[in-house]
Amino acid sequence: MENNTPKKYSKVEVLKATVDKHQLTFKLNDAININAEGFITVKMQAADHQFIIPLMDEFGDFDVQKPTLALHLVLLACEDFEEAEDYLIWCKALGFNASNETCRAAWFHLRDEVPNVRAFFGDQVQAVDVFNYQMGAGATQLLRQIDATQ
Amino acid sequence: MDKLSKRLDSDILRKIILKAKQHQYYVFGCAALLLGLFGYFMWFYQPLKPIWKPIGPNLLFALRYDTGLKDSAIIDQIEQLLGEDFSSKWEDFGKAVLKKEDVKPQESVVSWHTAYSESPQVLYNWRFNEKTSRDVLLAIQNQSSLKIRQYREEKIYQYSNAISDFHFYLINRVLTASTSPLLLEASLRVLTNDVENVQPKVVKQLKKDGIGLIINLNAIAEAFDALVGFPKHANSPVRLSALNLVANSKKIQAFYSENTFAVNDKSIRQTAFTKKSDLLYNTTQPLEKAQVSKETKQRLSLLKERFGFDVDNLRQGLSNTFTHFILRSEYVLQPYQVLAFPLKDSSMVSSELARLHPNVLPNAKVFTLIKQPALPNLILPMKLDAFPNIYYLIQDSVLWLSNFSLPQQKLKALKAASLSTKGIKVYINHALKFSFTDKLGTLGERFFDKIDGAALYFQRDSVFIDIDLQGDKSVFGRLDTLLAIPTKRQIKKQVFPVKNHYTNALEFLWQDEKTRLHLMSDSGEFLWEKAVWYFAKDHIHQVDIYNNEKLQYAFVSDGRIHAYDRLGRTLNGFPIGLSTYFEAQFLRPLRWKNEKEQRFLVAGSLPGNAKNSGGKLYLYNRYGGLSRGWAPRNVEAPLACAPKLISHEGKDVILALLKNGSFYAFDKNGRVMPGFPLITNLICSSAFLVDRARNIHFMSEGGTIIELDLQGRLLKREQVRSRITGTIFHLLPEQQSGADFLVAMQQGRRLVVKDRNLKAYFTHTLTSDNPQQLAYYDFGEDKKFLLVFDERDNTCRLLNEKGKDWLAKPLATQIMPLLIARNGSRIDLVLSKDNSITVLSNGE
Repeated sequence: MENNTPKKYSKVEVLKATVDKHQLTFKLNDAININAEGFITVKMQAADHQFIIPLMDEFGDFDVQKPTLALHLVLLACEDFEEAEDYLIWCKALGFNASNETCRAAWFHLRDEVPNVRAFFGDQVQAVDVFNYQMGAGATQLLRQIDATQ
Repeated sequence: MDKLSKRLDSDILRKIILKAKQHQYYVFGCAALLLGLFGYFMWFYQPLKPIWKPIGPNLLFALRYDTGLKDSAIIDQIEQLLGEDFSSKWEDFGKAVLKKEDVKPQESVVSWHTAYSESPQVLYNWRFNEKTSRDVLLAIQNQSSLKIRQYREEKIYQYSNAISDFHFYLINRVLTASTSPLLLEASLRVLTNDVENVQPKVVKQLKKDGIGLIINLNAIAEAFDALVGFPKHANSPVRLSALNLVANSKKIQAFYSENTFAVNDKSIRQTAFTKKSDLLYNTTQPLEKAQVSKETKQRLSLLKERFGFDVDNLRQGLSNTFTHFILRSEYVLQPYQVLAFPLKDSSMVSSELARLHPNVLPNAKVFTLIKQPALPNLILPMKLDAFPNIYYLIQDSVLWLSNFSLPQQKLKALKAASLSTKGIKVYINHALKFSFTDKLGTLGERFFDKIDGAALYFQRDSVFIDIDLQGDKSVFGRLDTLLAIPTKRQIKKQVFPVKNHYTNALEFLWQDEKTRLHLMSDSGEFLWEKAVWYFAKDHIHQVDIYNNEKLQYAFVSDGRIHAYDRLGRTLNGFPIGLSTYFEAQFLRPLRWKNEKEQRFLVAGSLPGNAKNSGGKLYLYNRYGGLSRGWAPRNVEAPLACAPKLISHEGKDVILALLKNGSFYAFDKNGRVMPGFPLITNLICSSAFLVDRARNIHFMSEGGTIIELDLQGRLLKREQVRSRITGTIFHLLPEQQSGADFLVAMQQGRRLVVKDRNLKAYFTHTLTSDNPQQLAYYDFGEDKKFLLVFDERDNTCRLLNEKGKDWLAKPLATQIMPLLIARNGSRIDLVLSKDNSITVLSNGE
């Protein structure tokens, strides 16, 4: 089982390696506070960079002790942003009220921050597939355990 | 014998001619010498132009001085100039009023005006040639009745008649006279120095300390104006360039052309020679009071009834001599009125009149009497309705209507003056004769102070007044009824101006209360009506669906997009059914840049309660399908107004304002553009506008003005302050260009209007505190209007740019009127009242 892990959940391994490489630490932040269930703002600190990403943590997975999982959530927020054609679609996808000024602020913040995150990590670092994450499949389980086991 | 003498004569003549031929140069020389002597003689004894310097009843004189002098110094110098003799008349002088005005940057004028006097004091000057002046002097010296006194080494003669004393002196061929010794002495003081160089209008300035005496002709003209209500007319060729006031004979004369004065040596009597055609007011030969005909009596009684103008009393006060009659413009409406209507199809109107009135000849060349109001497509002004008879005449594609029988020769004169315009021309019958007497001063105050522009001209035995109702900006504008066409049913909401794509003429389209669509031509002809069965939710737009430069009419109803062609036929494929779970509110026909296909952007709301009902935007093609590339867009709130399509940096941009104050910009694929939305959390319900700098302005119901640019940046957020709760705020885009706007606040009956920078524009007091609908029109300089419509009272009023009522009284209308600028300065107002569509025009 352990021997098969790198082959089967390579994305998780890459995430873990990235966390180690950049010595990433994550903290909750209240810079952007949308009054919606599961919405949090995360401050991601690298050795010489820091990013503030508003994201939806619908399963309450975020834990400062689990940086790999936190990185996954950050990258997932980036994907949500990139997949939404515009603000209205992003709001609808995340279940936000479009007339909420904080939502607009979050959108505008992501518009500036996501390209920086992508530039920092590169294309190789990707979140676990949304479907697998939603279903709580093996990769997700590994993601939730990988920081605890090592 | 006779034959012999004739032969001798002819022989002598022949010899003389022969001799002359031999000495022709001498002959021509002698002839030239004789001609020269004759010319010199004529030049020497030529009649001289008069020096003419009257001083009006109020103006004593004026002193021009350098502005470098102090006022106290000037007064000292005036006293010095006038001398000690003047101090004896200090009582008169004490009544004088000092006025100071700057003439040039370096010069000012101090003018002394006496208090108003019943007997104006006038100064006259006459210039004579050498011989006449000798005769005049001889005549004066031989008059034993003259009293003589000495002043400044000059003899002043005093001539007394039954009315008053006349003082004069003669020096250097100039006879100067006045009833006032004071004026005469003042003139003697300044005129004797260099009489020869006295100019007709401006007396040569004294060099002493830069002070000189001038006669202010303009002031005199103003004085005359104040006295008799001299009508002003900006375009009139008649200008008051000279005045001759004779007060003691109780006559006031004004001449505008050059006059020649002669003096009879037996009695000093003044006679004026002038062309009658040049004469403005003439009382030298007063006409006797004419017999008042029955018709005139009827008109006079109408005058008295309507305006309280008691002509009989007036006559008694005017010593029974009447020459001319001037009416203030608001009184001139009746009883003499001639209207000229240019006709597009005179034969049609003529035949229609003939059909309505079979007893009259269709091609009559004189005015024909008909009974009103059976005039096709023509509604006369209300005041004229009271007249029992109307005379009409159609000549040269002009329909003339008169409320009295107008002789043919008078018509010619009227036609010459009024064919180019459609304004009211007033014909004054010579049967009414009035004169200007000393009572005219009082009369002027009562009747002449509000003539807003008039020209008076003579023709044979008649006098015409051309009233220019637009002459003075302070006077109310006037709208005459062009059309008043009955409609079968009441007009719903508003009338839309549409263009005839064949003729470019304006047409009117509207929907009635039974959903029927009506098209009416500019001349009041109903072109068609069409049962639609649905009410238009928004404007009715003109679109070129087939891209062939022919225009159709399109609008959105609750569930459909409708389109009809110019003949009222439903277009193939229309109406387009809309989505069932959607309430359409606005339609915006649009065409993407560089694309030919006509599309329809429909904005509306999704059914639901007030909290969660959102807005939706559909884009349809002309075939009824959803347009490719545009997925129906949901927005979080319904739209506040119709979306707009603009082109920005070569790209099509759709702008939409939501009721919750969010402002969106979509690209042609319906994607929210970068920088948008701008979320303001304001309640908005009025339209936004895009100004020339491509900035967007909108206003919330609470009076917050938002300005943003097309990058979605907030440029300005300003709260219009109001001390009163319940204030209704309006952002009023200019209806023509839509690029400028005004801000209006209705606080009860108080309407405060501000410009776009929130600087106060004007304040107007409304007649009721009902919420008013406002529209701002800018047709150019001096033609800015605020249309105020009271939906509850069914009245509308037009305010000018100063906030004053442009119309004398509010107009009744059941719909929001439409204001249209035509060619030139003509303005039409389209409204609806009493189940009829009415077009009013200022007729310029």
